Amino acid sequence: MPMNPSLPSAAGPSRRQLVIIGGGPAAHRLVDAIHSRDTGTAQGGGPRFDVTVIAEEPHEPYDRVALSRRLTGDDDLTLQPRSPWASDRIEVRTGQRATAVDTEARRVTLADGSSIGYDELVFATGSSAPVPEIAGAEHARVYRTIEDVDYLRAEVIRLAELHGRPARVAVAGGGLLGLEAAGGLATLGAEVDLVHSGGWLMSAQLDEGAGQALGRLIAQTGITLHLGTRPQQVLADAAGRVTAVRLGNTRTLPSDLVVFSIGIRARDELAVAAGITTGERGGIVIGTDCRTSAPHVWAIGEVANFEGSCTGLVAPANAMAEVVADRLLGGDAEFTSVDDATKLKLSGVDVASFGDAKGQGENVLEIVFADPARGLYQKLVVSDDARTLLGGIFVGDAEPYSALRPLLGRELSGEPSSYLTAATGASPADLALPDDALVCSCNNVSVGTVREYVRGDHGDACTDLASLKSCSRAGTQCGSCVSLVGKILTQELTAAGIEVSRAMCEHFPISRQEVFESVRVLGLTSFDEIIGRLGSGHGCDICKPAVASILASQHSAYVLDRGLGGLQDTNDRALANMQKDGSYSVVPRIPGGEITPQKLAVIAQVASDYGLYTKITGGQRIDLFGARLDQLPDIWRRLVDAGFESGQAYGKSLRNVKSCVGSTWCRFGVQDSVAMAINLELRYRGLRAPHKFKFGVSGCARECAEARGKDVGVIATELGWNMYVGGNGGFQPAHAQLLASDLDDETLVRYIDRYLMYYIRTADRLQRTARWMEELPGGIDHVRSVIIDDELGLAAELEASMAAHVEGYEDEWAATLRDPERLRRFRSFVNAPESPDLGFPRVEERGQLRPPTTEELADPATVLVSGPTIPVRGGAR
Amino acid sequence: MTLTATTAAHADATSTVWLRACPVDELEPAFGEAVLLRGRQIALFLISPEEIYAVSNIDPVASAPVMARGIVGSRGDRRTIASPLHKEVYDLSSGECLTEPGVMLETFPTRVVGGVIEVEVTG
Repeated sequence: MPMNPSLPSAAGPSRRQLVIIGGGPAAHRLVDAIHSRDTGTAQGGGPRFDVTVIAEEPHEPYDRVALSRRLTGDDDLTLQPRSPWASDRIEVRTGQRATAVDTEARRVTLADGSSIGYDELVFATGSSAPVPEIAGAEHARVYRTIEDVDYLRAEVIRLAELHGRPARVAVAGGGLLGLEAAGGLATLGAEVDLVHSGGWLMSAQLDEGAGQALGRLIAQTGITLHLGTRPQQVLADAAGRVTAVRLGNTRTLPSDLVVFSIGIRARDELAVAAGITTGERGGIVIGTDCRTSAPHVWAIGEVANFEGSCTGLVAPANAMAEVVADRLLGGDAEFTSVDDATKLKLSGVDVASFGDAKGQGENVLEIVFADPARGLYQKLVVSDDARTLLGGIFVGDAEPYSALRPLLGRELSGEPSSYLTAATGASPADLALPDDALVCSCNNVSVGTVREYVRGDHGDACTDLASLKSCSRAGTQCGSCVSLVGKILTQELTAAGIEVSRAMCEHFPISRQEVFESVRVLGLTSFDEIIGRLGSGHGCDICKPAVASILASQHSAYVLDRGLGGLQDTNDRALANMQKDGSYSVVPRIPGGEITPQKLAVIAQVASDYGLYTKITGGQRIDLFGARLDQLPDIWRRLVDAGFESGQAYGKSLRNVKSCVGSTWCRFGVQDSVAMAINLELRYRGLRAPHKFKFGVSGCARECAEARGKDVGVIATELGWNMYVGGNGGFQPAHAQLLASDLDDETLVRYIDRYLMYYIRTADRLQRTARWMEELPGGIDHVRSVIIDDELGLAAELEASMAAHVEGYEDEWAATLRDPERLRRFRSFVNAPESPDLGFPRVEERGQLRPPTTEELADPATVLVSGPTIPVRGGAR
Repeated sequence: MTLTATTAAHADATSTVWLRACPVDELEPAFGEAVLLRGRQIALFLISPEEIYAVSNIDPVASAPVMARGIVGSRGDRRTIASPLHKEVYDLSSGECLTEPGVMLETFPTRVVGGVIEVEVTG
């Protein structure tokens, strides 16, 4: 908590209180900037500011730009980094509203009656989504917050169930947000009517030709457009349920839900009440320094009125936040112009505009390519000598946008028309980007800055896209410049003569992918052969497991025979998971999480007989902890006899396929998710990969199996299955992305076969699917072209590899148990196999045994349950 | 860490003794296993019948009896063993930890007598 009176005096009396009203993206950026830069005073003391953020919504600041993702998935939109909130001098009070500001006394009053004094105050109150004052307006909804979006999603699902037909939704507003809302609702299965007062969609950003092209593309997605009119009345029945919307053109649209997304209204009411100057059309007036008319009061983001208008885009909001942070810390940064460049994907349609997109300046030339039949529209606006780039619009194919936008206001090196890819069908002409051109407008990162990070001017050189993004912050917000950042990275590395080292370790100068291909083509089968042909030295704990995994992926041979045992990583070597004291945990496979009471009883009995600590895993399985190496064969003999197989929790391989109970029991399920999960788990069990991977199968869109948090997520639809790829939990969570929709069982399996094999062949070692796809040039689009369109002509080969795996699968523990030579690898001591592996004291806690802590071991009062009560190998039963 | 395996130490016959561990052909190449010698757990690594290493089976960092289950390899010219728990890498000959300065793994001289591996430990 800041303002703690008991803070040590080292914090100094010079600490000042910064209060930010509003907890949206602008506030987050300001706090992040202060957090990272406010490191010392002129006197050399600690940070200068204690920061309190008053956030009305019950959430930490989240990414409002990505609301549409929340509409169609459970995405966590919390803005990164979250580290500022951990600081003890930064506090965010969520669910708290400011009710008054006294600029004389420098105090903010809060809804709970308390107040907080400030040295500096920043308005980041954002805006609200207005609903026009028409009859029945109280029945309309808006699209602005997480709560709004969650409500809309639940309603669309509920209404569909209630009526036994798709929900009918009328969306008013054909701008950015309205189109996003309409697209998302349509993806959820709603029948969407889009009502827009302008003559064409996105009339604020696009000219008529582009708007028409966009309209055709949007109409093709099944959304019905009503242009040049607006809602006059929302009709509802006696119970307040929406029945229809009457339009100005006298048409009446039957509707179950009405959503208004017709613009933004600055939340300037507190400022007005406090006597701070606001604009004619609303918004707190700021200058280039982002100060308001009141001393020590600033405004940033959508609520700020700069040069007569407010802007609802994230890039200007971030830029203002940076200006205020700089000025609070003694700098003199200025906010000089609003960058209103926009790029987005609406219902799968690329749209981008930047600069003087409509060509409204004097003496400008427009170079246009329009293909109405294909819904393509590309336009560049240039100076009358056709040299200086002034703006542009792209609909249907926005490929040139990311490279051209940084060149706004600069001379083009080639003929303008050569940049219109839709016309030529070629890649956009190569552009020489000057250092001071902006590559990421959201985070204000220039081309030069990106280059500096690649060269290592700011610490370690960033030689891969992921680290370059996270260090430079370019491409981390809206993501539209990522491909350009990638190009700059490649150019810089090539120019510097740096070959990006993909060497696995000192023994292999080549990447895992290259080793994989060489092993496959040369038909190599042993480590000595492989390191002899492709590497040098004797190997290590990095390349040996990697080679073992490659061999296991290509041949379904037992992983410990023929010298392979010594290559295996810690867990694979014992076919069990080593715990911190050197004992092991055992995880039997429970396909799809379905298990009979009889099998449960066997697990219970084994755990009880061997004194194993038992815990349910996150993957719908049961983990038995505390087994000694020499006990593993006996434990597994009982499990195998009862029909269990290895769950391969120890392998870089398929773990589990998590499923919900599906249509068999669930009132909402539309497909048999359990049967599909079992089918998939049995198909891919034992398949070794560069990293462990998990599946999820959900029986309906409610997604109870959390399939989108898995490497492969399968979600039932009325028509079949949606296939998602590239999700994971863990250290760096990622949501899976939609690869294909409404697949039948057979196609689904075929696509998964191809996807997994393509991943196994081409990923780096220990690279999870999410990271792999992120680094593939083209990302998910490339994956789609390989998996679905078979553009590389690999599909048949990938499927054949998978067929060979499925054919050759054998349970590793059953294979171990039937061979005395293999069992020898589990002996405690070569010279004393009867003597149990030593050193596993246990203490009791909550009715189970666990390893003692260091403190407990040192404490003579600790009651240790020692080894001998646990059966020694051969001693049990 | 009472013993430094030098020829000088050999001369001091009162302090060390050679113990029979197991036949050479009990070990798979590069697949470590533990032996129990006078109550002490020792990890044996056979690179070839002419090149056999013995170290303490107790992980110096984690204090767990696991070193035999690590991966044998090399760093430059030095033969190494990586702890299976947290992957610290040790020089198999000297016991020096190459990844965490200051950490040492106890090592023991080995020899083969009549097809049997012997390890020299303090008596």
